[in-house]
Amino acid sequence: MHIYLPIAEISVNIFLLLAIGGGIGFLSGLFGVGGGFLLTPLLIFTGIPPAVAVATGANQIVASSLSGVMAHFRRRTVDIKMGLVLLSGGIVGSFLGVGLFNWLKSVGQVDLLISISYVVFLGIIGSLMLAESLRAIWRLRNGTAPPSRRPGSHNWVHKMPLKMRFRASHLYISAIPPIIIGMLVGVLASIMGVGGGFIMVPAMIYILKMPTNVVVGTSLFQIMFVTALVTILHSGQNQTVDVVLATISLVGGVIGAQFGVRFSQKLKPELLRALLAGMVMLVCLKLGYDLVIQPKELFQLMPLNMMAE
Amino acid sequence: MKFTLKICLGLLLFLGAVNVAKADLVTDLSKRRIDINSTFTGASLLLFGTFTETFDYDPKRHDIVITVKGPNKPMTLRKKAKKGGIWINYYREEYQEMPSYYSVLSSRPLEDISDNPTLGKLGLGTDFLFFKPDPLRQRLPDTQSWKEFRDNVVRLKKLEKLYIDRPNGVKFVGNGLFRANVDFPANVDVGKYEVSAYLFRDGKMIFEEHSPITMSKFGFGNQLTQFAHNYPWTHGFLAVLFALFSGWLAAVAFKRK
Repeated sequence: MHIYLPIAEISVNIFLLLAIGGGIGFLSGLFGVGGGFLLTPLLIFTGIPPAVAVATGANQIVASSLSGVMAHFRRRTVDIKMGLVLLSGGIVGSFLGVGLFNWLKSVGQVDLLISISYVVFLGIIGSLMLAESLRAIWRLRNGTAPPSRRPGSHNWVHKMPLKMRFRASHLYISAIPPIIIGMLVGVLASIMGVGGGFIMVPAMIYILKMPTNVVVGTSLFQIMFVTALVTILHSGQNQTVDVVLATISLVGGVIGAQFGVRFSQKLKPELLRALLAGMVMLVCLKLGYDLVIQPKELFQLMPLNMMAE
Repeated sequence: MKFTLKICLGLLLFLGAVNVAKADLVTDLSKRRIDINSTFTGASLLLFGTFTETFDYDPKRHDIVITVKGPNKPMTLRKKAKKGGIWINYYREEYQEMPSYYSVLSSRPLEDISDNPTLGKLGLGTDFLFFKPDPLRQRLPDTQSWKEFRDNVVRLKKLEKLYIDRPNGVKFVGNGLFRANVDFPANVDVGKYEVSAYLFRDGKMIFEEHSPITMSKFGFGNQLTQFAHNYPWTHGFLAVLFALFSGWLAAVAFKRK
């Protein structure tokens, strides 16, 4: 059964969309990741215009991050103060990102920006994850213990001005690094339609040295507000938010996540990470391949933006 | 679901005393508004008309051409080229006036009805539509490329079923009564459209008549689109609220299980 997506202006099989949403939901339940970085490329592969896929992806993440952040609030694993500092950077980043997005859209290069961002980020994340999980699997086979992490030593983060105390994270650090991290995530959310958890979580652990128990809740807290802002900015300036598309993929996602969580208990975590890394690399390669081979359609007709240039 | 056309447009062509000496055809539309209640397949419109009683119709000498033209829009056509190993939108041509929709129906193929200069002067047929390219805002592979670009505009528009050529789209059903079927895809623009009827005799255009019609859409999907375009900020805000509500609903459902 086909459904006409009013903003994307194409007809897509509703079961395909549900399956994509369900698959992403399954993965997010399975791996404990947001899945936005796989949702947007998959929507693009089905023929949805990249600009619509990005804005709609952001809208969908608002919903999924609220579900997540509510669970973390109940467990008191959200550092609200840190979240707000990250968010202040995130707001600036969102405006910068949407500004860049609009400018490139007016000169006809926004699809390229989206593809290249995905190839670069998925490539980096995918290969790091793959290397890490393969090392872990190899270690498990050989029975050697993983090297213990250095205790929270002082690094360059502690030498910067504007120091603040973050009680929930037991930290007394400069506000500048979290603002910069938040900003980067805001830019990524606006040009890639992702939450940015895959950048923020490692950054919080390794750069800010936050305790791992508050990391996920705090990042979800900031992601929710940043994606909400990005949704409003994209809708306001580009009219590219397709609520129908967001709702269908969300429904699939909610159902898929239920199965993902159950299934994840049956698999070894190292194997899970290797599988996810493999999938990320596949999507990265497909996007990269599409940039390099000659496209079937060389011409593209688009409305002229009178404000351009 | 069936998407019937909400209206039957009676294009009654009979002649009024306008600028031509002798009245052959004049248009009268039973309705001047098309409502498309279609979010999937679009709609089709039946046009019919006839000559005035005094008009001496000769099928060997007379031809009828009907066009339906949507509102003009400025558009850009981009062409990809391989630069630095990847394919990017490199060449472009900007057009100031491109009909968002254009259907041309005729009783015979246009090239059999009249010669190119006549068709060109009238801008009849997709070959003779003029899009007003902006010479200051273009980057073309070479000076002859404008033709390639123009042809590709028409090709892409035809692919979207927004430009339609029906060389035998005007059918005579007897006694000088003719009919024509015009199709509109689901993604047509709303606004003012122009229906034009041209009467040719021996390759010369002897009468033309233009009448406006209004294209409007209703139905949930269409209303959503119009809301998103007319109130983009409110739409974004509501999209966020709706997402928050859905997320909350999902969280509550999870907790229960």
